This record gives sequence, C-alpha cells and structure tokens, in this order.
Amino acid sequence: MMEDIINAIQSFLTNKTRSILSLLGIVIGVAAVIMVTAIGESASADVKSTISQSGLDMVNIRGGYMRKIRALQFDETTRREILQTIPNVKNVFYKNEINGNIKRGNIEGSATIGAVELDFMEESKLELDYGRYFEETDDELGALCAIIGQGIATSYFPEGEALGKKLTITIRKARFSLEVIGVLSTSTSIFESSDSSVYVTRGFYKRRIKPNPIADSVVVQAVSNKYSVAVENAIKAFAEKKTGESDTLFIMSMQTMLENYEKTTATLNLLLSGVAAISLLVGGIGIMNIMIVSVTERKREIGIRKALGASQADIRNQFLIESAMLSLIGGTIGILVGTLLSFIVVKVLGWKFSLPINAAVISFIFSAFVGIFFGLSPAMKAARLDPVAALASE
Amino acid sequence: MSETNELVRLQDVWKIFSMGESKVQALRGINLSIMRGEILSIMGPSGSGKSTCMNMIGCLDRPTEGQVIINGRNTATMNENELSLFRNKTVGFVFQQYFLLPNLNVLENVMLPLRYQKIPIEERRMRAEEALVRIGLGDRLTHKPNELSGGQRQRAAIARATITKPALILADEPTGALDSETGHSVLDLFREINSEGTTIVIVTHDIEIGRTAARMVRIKDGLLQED
Repeated sequence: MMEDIINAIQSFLTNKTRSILSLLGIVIGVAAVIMVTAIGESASADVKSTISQSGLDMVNIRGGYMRKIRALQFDETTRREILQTIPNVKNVFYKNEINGNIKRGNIEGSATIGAVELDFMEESKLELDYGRYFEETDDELGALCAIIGQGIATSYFPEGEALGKKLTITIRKARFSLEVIGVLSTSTSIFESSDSSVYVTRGFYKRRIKPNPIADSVVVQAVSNKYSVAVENAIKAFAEKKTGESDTLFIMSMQTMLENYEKTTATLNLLLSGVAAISLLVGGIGIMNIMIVSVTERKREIGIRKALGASQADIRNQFLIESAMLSLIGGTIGILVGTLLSFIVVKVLGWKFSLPINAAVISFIFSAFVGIFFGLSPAMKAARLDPVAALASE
Repeated sequence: MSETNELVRLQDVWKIFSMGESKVQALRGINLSIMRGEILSIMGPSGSGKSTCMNMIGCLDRPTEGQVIINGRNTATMNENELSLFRNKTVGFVFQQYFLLPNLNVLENVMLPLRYQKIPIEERRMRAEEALVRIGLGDRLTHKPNELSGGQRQRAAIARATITKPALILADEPTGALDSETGHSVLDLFREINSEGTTIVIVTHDIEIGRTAARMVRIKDGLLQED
C-alpha cells in the first residue's frame, strides 16, 4: 500500500494545476470548518472571560419603568424582605442613575451619575486604575467625592493625574464641586459601562438629591456562584408574587447570561459547520469528477496492468488510494489555510488564539472519508474495465 | 494439474462482437492445440481474427462459445481473480506498441508484474535489474521509455513479459514497429527464450516473420487452418 501512496503522490505532481483545482472544494470546506471553530472558540473565550469578570455570583434586576411598578418598589422595606425571605443572598445593592452636566475649566459635557452603595464597586469587580473606593464616612456624610470612569478621566483630565482634583457636576440645576478620589480602569463589565460614568455614594444622593430614594436598578449578590441561578429564580418568584404578573422586570444572573450565550453560539457554530460540511461534500464531488476524468484518460494503462496480472481489487485500490490522497492533501492545505486565516482574524480582533486541534483532526479524517466515498464509483469503474477494450483506447 | 504436453487448447471457440445493430463473428469455431516448448506463429491479414485469437489464449477475453483449456483446466471455471493470476504467472504479453507505462522508468516497468505477486520491493528490484542486464539494457535502468529506441523498448517489454517466468509468451506483431535488423534481433531473443523451455506464440501478418517459427497456422475470416 505504501507504493500505491507514493504512486498517488507522483500522479498528483504530474498535473499540479489540475490536481489543485480539483481540490479547491475540499480546501475551502475544511478551511471554513477550521475558521468557524477557531474564531468561534476565541470569541467565546473572550466573551466568557468578560462575563466571568463581571461576577458570576451577581443577579441583575432592572427595567426602565422600575420605579413605576406600584406593587414592587425597591425601598428599604423590600430590601429587608429580600434579605429575610430569599436564601443564599450575600448582598443587596441598590443603585440610582441620573443625568448630569460636567464641567472642568473649559471642558464641558454630560455624563451618567451613578449613586452606588458601599462595596458595590468592589464586588462588581470594577477595577481601580488608581485612587480608592468609597468608605463608610464618604457614604454617611454624603461627602462631595466621586470616582470617575476611564473615559471621563481622559476627557476632563487630559494631563493625567486626576486624583485630588475637582470636577463641577450639575444635577437638576444644583451645582456640586466633587473631588476625585479614584479613577476606574477601562470597563470590562457587561452591565456597568463605567467608562463614561461618574460615581457618587448613595449617601450623597440621599442627602443632596432626593431623600428616601427608590432604586433605579438592583444587583443581588448570591453567596457563591453556585447559588446564582437559584437566587435568580427566587427573585423572579418574589417579583411575581408581589406584582401578580411574571416578566415585569428584567431579572437575570450572569450565570444564566453565560449559559444563554453558550447555547446561542453552539447553535450558530453548528449551523456554520453545517454549511462548511456542505462545502466539503461539494469538494467530494470535485474529487469524483477528477477521478472519472483520470480513469478515462488512463484506460490503456489500466488495460496494460490487467494484462500484467493486476486483479480488479488491485486496480480499484490503486484509484481509491489516489482519491483518498487527493482529499487528504486538500484537507491538509485546508487546515493550514484555515488556521492561518483564523490566526490573523483573531489577532486583528484582539482576542486570544487557541489551536483548533479537535476540528483539525476531525477535518483530516473526514477528508479521507470523502476521498474514499466519492472515489469509490470511479475506482470500481476502472476495476471492471474490459482489458481488451481498455488496451484499444486512445 | 496435468502432465500432458499440451499447454493450450482452443476447442470450437467462437467470438461474436455486437457492434450496435450488427454482429461481427471474429472467430468461427477455432480448434487449436499448442504444445509445451514450441514456437508457433499465427498468420493472417488484418481483420482475420488473429489478435482476438491471441486474446482468447491469454485470457484477456472470454469466448462467446467453445472452450479455452490451459494446462488441462477450462478457463470458464475460473473467476476474475484466478484469471488475473493466470495472466500474471503463466502468460507474458508482448505488444506491437510495447505498451510500457510512460511515467515509470524501465526498471519500474519491468518490476511491475512482480508487484502483483506481492513480492517485496527489494527482491523485485533485484530480479528486474538482473533481467535487464541479461537482455543488454543494464545501462538504461533509470531511463523513461520515451528515451529509448524502438528496439530497446521492445527488449524492455520482453524483459517485463518474462520476469515472472511464464510458461507462455504471446507476442502480437512484436516486430511491426521495428526495422528489419532490429526485428530479427527480437526474433533471436524469442528463440533464446524458447530454448529455455518457454512456449512462444507470435501473431503476425508478415509471412517472413511467420516463417521463422517452427510451426505456422493461418487464420482468415475467423477460421483457422494448419499450414
């Protein structure tokens, strides 16, 4: 069989242009499968790490009309209820958001002002570039201090160091001069777009903007990642009981989000792989075509071999190995091309690249099968040629 | 299976080809007996059925009617694999157009029949080289057929035909494409092979060639007659 393989490669090299053209379908099919898998995996890994960084133990509750739902207002009573009735809850964080104008010297603009509670930023994994988080005194006294996002820092403090400097915020016609005590790193969180936000303590909000406020959004932190889905379901039940309806609010844990994402990408991957597989089959038809041509062109050779004593099986195997080799060469080229292209795409998009080894191995084996399957009919035809007629050809 | 001196017998062999609507009777009841060790020429004009007759003897084709008996065995009882084996071990073909494979070199061409016996490659190479040296082509081993003269190609083809030490050589117009001097040297080669015990059957239309054989039969319009 080794000889047949060498002969097949020689045959391939004899007419390189034609061989390569007939491989094109397989190359494209395999390259497509590799690319879908590799790029898909990299994108997936990237999103997953982002979601994970946002804290898989968090359950987000929000809704544009949240404050308008009479039956369920997120005030201190509700907070107590949640903490008492829902098990495995570590923290309940209330947050308020309001638009405001910002000014520093000549630089003016607007931003979202987020009023957050203590430990919220730390638990939400909002990383500090420099400075510090809010402390109890900041909150209790409603101190005139703020933590700003990376985008705000670059816009209003282009010189760099924002720490200790002042920012003028206007909220509902009330003007405040806030000291910057911390600057956040570039946002990686899905739910908190901190880059263009200015954060103050909720204590500040209660004292200076609106007393006894109802939350605009809530984050419930489960005791551990393990319980986040349970907590999510419990909150949904809680909300339904209160309002009498389901789906009045957006309640979702990061864990569920992750699972939803994985389901969607899995379906998408499957679909795209299906398309790529069809391309592979088309490639197989290309192989079959070229083998039919090859057999027709080599009828005399087949006749000679039969006269020398080749059995039908010998002839059949010779051509089967040729078509399998053709496919495998195509598959290999496809794997190389696919890997190279996915590497380029992934790097350009700034993700991490991982070698799609499983996809490569499966594609390689699959190419061999395609070659054998589509090469079978021409090979059988060759094997069954009448020696006399074959010798008389050409 | 038998120890008789008769190697091949064609018994009342008919071969009828259907060409679309019409039928062509290439062989019409041929009776021929070929003994071990003889040199036989089958002479006939173009279209006489001589090549078809050779195909019957070499089992490249099957008769429409009648029997072909080789070594006492009726070829009708042989399946495809047994026929391939027969063609490999018992018969060696030599064609007018040499029919060497163009993309293999001379050595590889001569090695080819041994490959179908599943003999390991080193042994094949050795035996083929030996045969080519003996026949005077030792310095042309790596040449491709198109780099050889007609006479050299035919000698390579003869080396290929004899490599499996067959009992029978079937030659179809072996000197047809060669000049008379080269042709004669090929016939000398056949005589030499025959002297070692191989039966030779030469099919030709040239009476000069036909006469060089010890026994000659004529074939015309599918009918055979001894000379």
